[in-house]
Amino acid sequence: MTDFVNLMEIERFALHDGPGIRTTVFLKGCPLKCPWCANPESQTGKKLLMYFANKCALCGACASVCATGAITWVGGKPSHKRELCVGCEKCREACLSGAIAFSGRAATVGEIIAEVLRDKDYYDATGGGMTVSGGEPLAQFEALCALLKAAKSEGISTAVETTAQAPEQHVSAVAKLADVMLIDIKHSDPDKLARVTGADIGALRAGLRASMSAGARVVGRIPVIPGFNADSVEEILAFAAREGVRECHLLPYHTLGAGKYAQIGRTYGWSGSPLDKNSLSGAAEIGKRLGIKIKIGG
Amino acid sequence: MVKFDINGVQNVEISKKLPSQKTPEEQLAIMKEYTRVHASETSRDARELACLNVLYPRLFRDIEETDLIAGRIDFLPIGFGCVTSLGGVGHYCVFRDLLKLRDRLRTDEERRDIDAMYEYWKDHDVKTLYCRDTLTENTIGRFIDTHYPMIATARLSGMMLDYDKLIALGIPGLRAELSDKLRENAGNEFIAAGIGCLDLFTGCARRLADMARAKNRVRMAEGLESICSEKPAHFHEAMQLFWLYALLAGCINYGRLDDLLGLYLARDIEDGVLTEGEAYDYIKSLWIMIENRRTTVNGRVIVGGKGRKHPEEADVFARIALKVAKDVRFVEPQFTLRVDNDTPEDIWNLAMDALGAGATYPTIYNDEVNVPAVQFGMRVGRAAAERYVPFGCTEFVLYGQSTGTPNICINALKIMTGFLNGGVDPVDGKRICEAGEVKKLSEYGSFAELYDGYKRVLDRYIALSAQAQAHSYEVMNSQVSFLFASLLMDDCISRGRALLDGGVRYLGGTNELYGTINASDAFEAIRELVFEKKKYTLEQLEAAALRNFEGFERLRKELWECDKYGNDLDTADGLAVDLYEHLAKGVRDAGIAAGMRYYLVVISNNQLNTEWGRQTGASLDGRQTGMYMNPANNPQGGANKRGPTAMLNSLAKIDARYHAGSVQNIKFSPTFFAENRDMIKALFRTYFAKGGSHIMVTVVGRGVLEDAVKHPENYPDLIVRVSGFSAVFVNLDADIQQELISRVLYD
Repeated sequence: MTDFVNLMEIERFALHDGPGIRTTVFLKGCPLKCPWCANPESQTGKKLLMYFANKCALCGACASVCATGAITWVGGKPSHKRELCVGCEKCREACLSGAIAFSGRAATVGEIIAEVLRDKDYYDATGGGMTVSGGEPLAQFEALCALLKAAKSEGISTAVETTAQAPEQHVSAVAKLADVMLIDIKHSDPDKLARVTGADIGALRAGLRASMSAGARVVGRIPVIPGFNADSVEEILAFAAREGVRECHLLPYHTLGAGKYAQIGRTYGWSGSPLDKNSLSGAAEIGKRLGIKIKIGG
Repeated sequence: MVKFDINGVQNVEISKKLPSQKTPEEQLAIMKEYTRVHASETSRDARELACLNVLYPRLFRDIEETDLIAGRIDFLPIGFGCVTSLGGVGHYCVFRDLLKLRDRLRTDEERRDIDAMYEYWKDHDVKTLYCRDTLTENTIGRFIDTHYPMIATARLSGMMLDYDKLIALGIPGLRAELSDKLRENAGNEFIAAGIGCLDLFTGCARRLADMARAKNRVRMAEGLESICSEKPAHFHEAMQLFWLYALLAGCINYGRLDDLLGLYLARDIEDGVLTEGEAYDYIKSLWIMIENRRTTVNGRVIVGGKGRKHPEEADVFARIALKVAKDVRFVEPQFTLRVDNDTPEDIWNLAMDALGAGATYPTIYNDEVNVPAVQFGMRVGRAAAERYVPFGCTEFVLYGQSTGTPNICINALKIMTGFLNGGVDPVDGKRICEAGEVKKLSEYGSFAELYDGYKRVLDRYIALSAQAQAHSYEVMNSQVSFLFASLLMDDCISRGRALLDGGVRYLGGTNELYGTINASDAFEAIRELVFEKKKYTLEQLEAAALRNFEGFERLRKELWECDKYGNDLDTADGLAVDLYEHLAKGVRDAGIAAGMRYYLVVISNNQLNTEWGRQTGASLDGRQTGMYMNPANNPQGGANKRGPTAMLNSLAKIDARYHAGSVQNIKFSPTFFAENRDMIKALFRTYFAKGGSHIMVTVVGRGVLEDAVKHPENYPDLIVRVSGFSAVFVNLDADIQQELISRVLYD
């Protein structure tokens, strides 16, 4: 079992990743490629250079300190070849305007738990705790288990936000350690799910079942994406109900993560307008019929 | 004697006062008479009473349409008062206002009269007398001269009187108590003058009753007449009695009105004398009258908390007051809610409603922490500690039992910039450390040695501050009795002595600290870069700071990226706590040694963190020359990056037992606040359970403040919490607006 976690970031006072006031630990790496992903920097396990063009003073300092050719100066602005980047962060140190950041670092379980513990009083007061999210946290199965065990031993309630795209026995093991499993149910149509996100519905169903039989509280998380599944919310809820899910969160599509694509040298691949929360209010009625408790937003 | 500018600005003034209703000529006549009486009377008590009789009832303003009780007064450039926010201190002359009035007078003779008074008051204005004694060339400046590392004044801020006693006894009862005392001790001038004050009170009440009758305000007139001869029987009479007394006493903070008036309010509602709607109108009317006094940083009204005699009835008042605060959205009164574990849920919810509406009120104090902290800090029993009330920007005082005026302010960061620069303030070249207090930077062998050297300089300032505070009481006592205030302060009547003449039960004081977080963050950066990583020498850092980091931008970035207070880190928070405790314990000990019951720091700041920052050199936390300093007990704007729990955890590390009030600001966007109200309420409560003493909340949209800078005309009513007071944003100076924008917004 490893003691190191490939960490993206720790967000304290997280209010949308499970009950109460939480600290969400985002891990790097995801097997899926959902085109609307709001955290594209989490998809790769690699430490990733993020460049904020709006802050850049175009001074050239980053290129002048880059020894690997990952940043060169072309036409009066920086050009990035992230595949050459070794993550030395010399460019970040040289940048006076804060236009460079790095996503991803190795952190020990102990140091993460130490920070999580700092807000224990807030969790205790609100039924909150630690959520491990991603990326896909199960992609770092051993580190995830270590985090959950460490939290448990400190009396911290835990949740895992996952796509369940992992070996069934891994999901099962994690669900035995976690109090809440927040499991993405992005579609009930196996073809659409596989074609657009790369996820396997069989793994999803196995994951849902394994989590329930492990005794975790299972919450289906349905990102409602126009052009993908916004017309199929009822079918997805019916699918969830058939799988035994009794609680679902509908997460209206937003574009808050769209700007991050440019920051990591990619193009945002989904078009659509953000959904208003109120446009999903009809789902409550469907949920009632199906015996599913619905919450709009996380 | 050091030279100082007696015409200078004496306090923060954002809210503009209503213009006097007296013509310049009428004002001149009253001030001439006041000056004549002042010069002719020699006994302190008799002189004060005679002077008050010159002012009142003449200075009462008209009764306004919205007024449901009577009492508005004007202030002249010469007169009598307690505080600098309205008029001045004791027998005062506000020289700058006197000169402005001179310009409005028409004849040479009138102007000569002004000149003669100007000369007279140069030797008699209480504050000027104090300044002559106290100010020094390089270290102690006058309020508010930010060129000095420490400033001092004489004032009697924050008096909150025992109005419970006033209302229980009524004027006749108080008169009887004084008469008994005078029979016991026939020659007691203080008591005799006290009886004269009650005559003045009833004279004013009757004059106002006439004015009310002339306007057909029958209930108001009857109330005014009734309180001259009876104890108040009804809510409006109790409110009238309290209000008129507070005006004549020169008090601008009002205390626990819920417990004071709640019983009358609840009884009148129950008896059908008053509807809840009428009660709302009365409280709203009082709010308008308080707002119209425009003190900028005062006007405290407190509800809730421990130690109330009639908590249930008091909560009836509190609920209505919370609704009024939400609806009117004034900058004053500074509406304050004390909470404890027994605070009803609906009161919490009403408070969240008002905050969510952007009222910036109530500002919330945690009795579970503050009451035991006050017991320790002020060295009083539990019952006395439960009487704590915040005034001004947050300073605690015990209503009816203690003085707590903050007459000294210390800028810990300015002292640090001088300490690192060979003892000389880098902004103006003044020597602010003494020989022997500083060494060459290369001679400091360890962080501990350096930090300790700085603390020794602070110790000298701490000792000076306690002496200067104690002396402010001596000077005021030599000139005035503060008669009206004394009558409602324990134990003035029973001892037969005026407030500062041995009358007040607990002679306390406060000392406002500034720039402490910048200083501790700067030491953290030194610790890390010089002594731990050995990346730079201390001289290199100081050389960069002296150039305001020009040409050293990368170094400045490294300083800024060192651990900062406000992120729940043991490093930076540990130093912040250590520096705070050094200052706070030092001030407390020095005050006790100087003969005060308590002398405690307050970490409040009005906007002085920005104003004093303008005169403070670049600091090694990465702050540039002239930039604002950190607000109150909060991190420097933008330094806290780990969310609200981390920031509140940092704030809660400051031990409340060693201060008499510490302001904690937090800022949310309206949508975030509305959507997560229960979690935010839980956030506040948990922070309180962890030792947080206070929270004040601004709810304002992202980008709104930025837009208001560009288009002030669109935001005439946008209220923000500065720190210890609220203000209309567009009335603030540009750099103060920037300081507010720099604070982290949670959304």
